[in-house]
Amino acid sequence: MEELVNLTGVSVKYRITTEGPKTMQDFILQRLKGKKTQFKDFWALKKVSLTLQKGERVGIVGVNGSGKSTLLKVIAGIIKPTEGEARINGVIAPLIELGAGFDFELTGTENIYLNGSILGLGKKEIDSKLKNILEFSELESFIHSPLRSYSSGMVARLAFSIAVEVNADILIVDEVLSVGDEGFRKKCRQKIDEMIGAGTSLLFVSHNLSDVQRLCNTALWLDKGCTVEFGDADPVTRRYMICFDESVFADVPREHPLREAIDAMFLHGITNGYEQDGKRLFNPNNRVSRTEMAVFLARALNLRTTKEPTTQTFDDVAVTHWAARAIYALYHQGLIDGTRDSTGKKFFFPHDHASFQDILEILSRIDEEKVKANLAIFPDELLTRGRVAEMFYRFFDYGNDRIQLPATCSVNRADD
Amino acid sequence: MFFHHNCEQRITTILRGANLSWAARLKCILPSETQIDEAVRELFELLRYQNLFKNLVSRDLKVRYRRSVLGFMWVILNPLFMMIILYMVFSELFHFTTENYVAYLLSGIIFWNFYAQSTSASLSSFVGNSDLIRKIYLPKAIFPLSIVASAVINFAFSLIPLFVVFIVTGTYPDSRIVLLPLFLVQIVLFSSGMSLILSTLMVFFRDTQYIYEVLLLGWMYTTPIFYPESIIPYHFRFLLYLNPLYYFLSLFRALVYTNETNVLMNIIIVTCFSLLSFSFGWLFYNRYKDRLIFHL
Repeated sequence: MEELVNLTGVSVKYRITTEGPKTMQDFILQRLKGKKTQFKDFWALKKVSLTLQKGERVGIVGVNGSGKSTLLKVIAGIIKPTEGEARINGVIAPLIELGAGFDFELTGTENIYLNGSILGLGKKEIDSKLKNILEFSELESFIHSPLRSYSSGMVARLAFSIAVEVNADILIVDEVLSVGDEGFRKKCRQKIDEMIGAGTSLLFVSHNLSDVQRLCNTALWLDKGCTVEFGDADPVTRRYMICFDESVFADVPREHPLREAIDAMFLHGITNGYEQDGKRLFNPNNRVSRTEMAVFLARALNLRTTKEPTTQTFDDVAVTHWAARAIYALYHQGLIDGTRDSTGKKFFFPHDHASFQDILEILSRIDEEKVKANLAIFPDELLTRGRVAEMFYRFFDYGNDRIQLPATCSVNRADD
Repeated sequence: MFFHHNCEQRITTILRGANLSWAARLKCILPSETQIDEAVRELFELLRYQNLFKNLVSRDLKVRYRRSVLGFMWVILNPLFMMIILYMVFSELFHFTTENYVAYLLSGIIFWNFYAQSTSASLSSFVGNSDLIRKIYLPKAIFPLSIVASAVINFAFSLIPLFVVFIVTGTYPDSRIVLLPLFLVQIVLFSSGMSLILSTLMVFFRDTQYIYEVLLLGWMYTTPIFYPESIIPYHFRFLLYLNPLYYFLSLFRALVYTNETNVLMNIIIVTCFSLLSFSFGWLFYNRYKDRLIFHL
């Protein structure tokens, strides 16, 4: 597979002079006196490695100041690494700094040619793309007026339309794509999705972790310039969220007694909660249906990759049921039997509420000793989602999965 | 940090006359193999961005005259007006000592305008385009070099009034006028070298602009633009001979109207200066180009 971006051990140092010559005069005087410049080194990136294959989509997450923009600048070729090697094998379309080089005295068309050439396009290429750019930006009638007369939204639309016409191998996207009105924004999102679908690789920097999970296959988590983790997007973003969000679920704050258990459910991918008004909710006090119980168990036991069921064993669970895979997986593992009626048909009763006994019974089949040891204390009251989280936490020992941030990043060289 | 760290100490000791081998001193200053490699690669990068280069030049030409009343005519009128004023001021003093003072003056003015404008404008080209440089990858040399290119185009157009003057005064250049394009290449190389050095220095030392302004003023007076060479007393003549622009200007005048025959020496000197300037400028720029962004 063709490697488009290969960063090995890249470190970037910013040298901040605390006391140094700012003018030529000072410089000469300083050298003659033999005085040295005082400076402090700040390592924005410390031995970061990253690879991007063709068609791959990498998300980059991290708090502000973790080195994300420096990393992007290294990839874009704006900054050369102080140490390490950065190999870029493709055309980059940075959708972060749109409209670079726009001259407001020139007309729209002239700016298209200027901006296009800044992005590396030749004149003939721009000629052939001109029509597409004008169509996409919806600025046909204004194209001969100077850019001074455009609104900021129009400028942004023009900039975006030019940037997407570059046949890029790598798209660098910042989540802040707030160009124009909702209609245009939708067009932008569609266009990006189109480009991704056509196999363009993507580097996506975002604080919106569900977007990262949706769009990317791998993710890089940076903190203070170091790589905390680089791996599949889903687990990495989950761990990042646990580390830094005030609370993963809006209705499960820090003080909630079951917070750790519920966060663990999220961390292990057992639940994503419900998104409502941009907030993530868990609803810990809701009852659990048997279907939901089956889904939770299947995820906890990593049974989700089993194939679609072909034979319908339970009369009340069709093979097209949204949780059919989970339910039948549990059945095939021998964890649920269902109930047989007089006619010999098996029933699962997917819409009934699940009870403690239901779960305890299934878990006993996995490890009876453990159930007796850890879960015997549960009273036989109503089973809620929060309680399920607690049971899982104890049974699967989620308390042992602590997420550690690296305390310091070591840089193996004496400071200059 | 301006110089490479290891060299700092050595340069200081050189200035204090310590005992260092010449080999060691040279090693600090001369470019390493990788640096030469990098410098060559940067030339190819410029080639790759030639479309942008052309756009920058045409933008500069367009914007400069777009909102003015007389537009592009200013390229022709500006030197002409300047010549008229200077002629009125100095003709009484120099009229008899110089043959065809008008042509002498005009050729001096348009040459100096080219050099002064190209270097002064490109001096702040990195600093002025810092926004762009920080946002997207570009071979940064494209900025000062495109300014030199548009200055040379202006220079070419301002040759028009010069030839009009020739027709009026009855002086005609001989066949060696065909060497003029070669001369243009020489001044482009020389000015490019200087521009690259100045624009790089400006990023690190923001007073370069003021120092150069003053330098340029002094430089103008040691170049025989409006006074004939003979005016300068013999013991000060060396100032002219040390000035590279003196040779450029003499060559220019020789090619264009004085029809002097022994220009070979002049051509050799001019070639040396332009090649030296460009090589030094290009290597200098390449050595520090990766650090520029940290100071913009």
